[in-house]
Amino acid sequence: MRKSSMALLATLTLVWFALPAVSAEAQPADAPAAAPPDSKESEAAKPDQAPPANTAPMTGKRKRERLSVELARQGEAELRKSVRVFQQRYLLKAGRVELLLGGGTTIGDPLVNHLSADAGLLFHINEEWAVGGWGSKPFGEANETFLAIQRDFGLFPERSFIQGMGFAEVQWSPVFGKFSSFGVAVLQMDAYLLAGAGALRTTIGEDIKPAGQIGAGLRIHLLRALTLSFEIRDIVFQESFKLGDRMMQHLFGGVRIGLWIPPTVQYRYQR
Amino acid sequence: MKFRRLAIALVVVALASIFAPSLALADDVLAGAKPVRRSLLMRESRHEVTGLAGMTLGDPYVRNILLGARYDMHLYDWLSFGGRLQVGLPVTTETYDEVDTKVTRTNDTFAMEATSLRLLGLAHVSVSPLVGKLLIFGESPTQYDIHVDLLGGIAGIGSTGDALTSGVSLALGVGAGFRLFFSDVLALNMGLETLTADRALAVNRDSKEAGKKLRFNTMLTIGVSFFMPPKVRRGQ
Repeated sequence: MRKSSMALLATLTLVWFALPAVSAEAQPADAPAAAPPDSKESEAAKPDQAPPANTAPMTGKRKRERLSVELARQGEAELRKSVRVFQQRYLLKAGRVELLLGGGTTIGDPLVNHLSADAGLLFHINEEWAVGGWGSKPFGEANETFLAIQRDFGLFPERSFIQGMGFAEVQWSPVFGKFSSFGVAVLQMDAYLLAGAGALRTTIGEDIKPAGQIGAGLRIHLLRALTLSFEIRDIVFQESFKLGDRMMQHLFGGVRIGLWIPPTVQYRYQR
Repeated sequence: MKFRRLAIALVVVALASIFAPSLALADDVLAGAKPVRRSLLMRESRHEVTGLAGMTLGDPYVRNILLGARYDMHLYDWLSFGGRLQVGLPVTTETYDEVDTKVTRTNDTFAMEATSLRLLGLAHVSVSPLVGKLLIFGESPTQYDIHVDLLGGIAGIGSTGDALTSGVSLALGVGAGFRLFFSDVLALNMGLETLTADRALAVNRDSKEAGKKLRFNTMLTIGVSFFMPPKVRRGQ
């Protein structure tokens, strides 16, 4: 008798603890308004749940629930339209000076190779446009093909090495973006086109020769005061060989470190 | 009285300095979150077919225009395997014509000859360590990646004359490329690659092969890629 009363008590206790859980699980099915507005359950529940014809008070309740769901949906849609998330630019360029130091090499030159040490200064007028200048000290040498022409054909081509050059340039950055490596970190970057005019001196003749340049680059924003740029520049000038004038073209590929002044930036809005 | 006010002010500043950082941190809802979330997996589990056009750079005598196609099976967003087939069309340079003219003046029997790349059959493994998105003119975001390729296969060597023999050479190389997505299925591909091929570059003034040696051929390629299936998944 004592055992059976204990068993009854235990059963009642279990039922007591089980009841709230059952009612909580049952709640969403009976109350579609609690479901998220965009969920399939609420979509399915809304139009197909026609109210019973003989339950007038329930119809009013259902109508209110349906209205609530509809208002919630409209509210969220309006919120999504009005709220937009922007990531701040990590590096602001407008009004800052970029001090450039780097080097490069000629690409695809069939007869001579140049290595160069470069230095430059850019003033960024705004986030897209910059003006400035740079100078370079190239170190040229004849490559294996040049020597092979001498050796195999008995021909001695006239050599033209660039001894020094300087250019004024304009930069335009229409591309801004970001990238990550295996999802570890995100870095921002911008890509730019450049054009400019300047002068250079070669091993042929003593005179300074006018030259033009066009190019493109990719600037990676490492820190707010430090960038790393990869560039390609096409240097064009007219060379005066003994056999006549000839248009020369040197394609330089290079890397430049940019030191930004002032080193810190001030955002108008913190977020 | 002054001392008391000063003491209160100091206590307030001290409390502010203790609690301010924690409040600022609590305000940042992204603190501790992954840097990249729900990224578009533009490559993962997709096939890529690319129509390629390219040319070799820095050739002294014959420039090679290379046309062909490339296939990639992207196992992951960052790794793919594939192959390519490219046909080379030789175009002689100014230096080739100049050597021909000048050497013929002293040697009537001389005819300039040089080798070219006629065919490339290569397999590759491609890794995309850098992926991201960019805005062009501030318009809608465009996905892109930078990938590195390891290449291996054969190169068919051709000649502009009879003194240099044609043949097949083992070709190994490495390259880097940039892929810009215009849509979920269409992308622009640009690449710079260097490939070894065992070939004599040209004849000498006696019309003899001027020593066979391993050469690096630098190639610039541009292509348009089509991705299948067209639907792009999102990551976690």
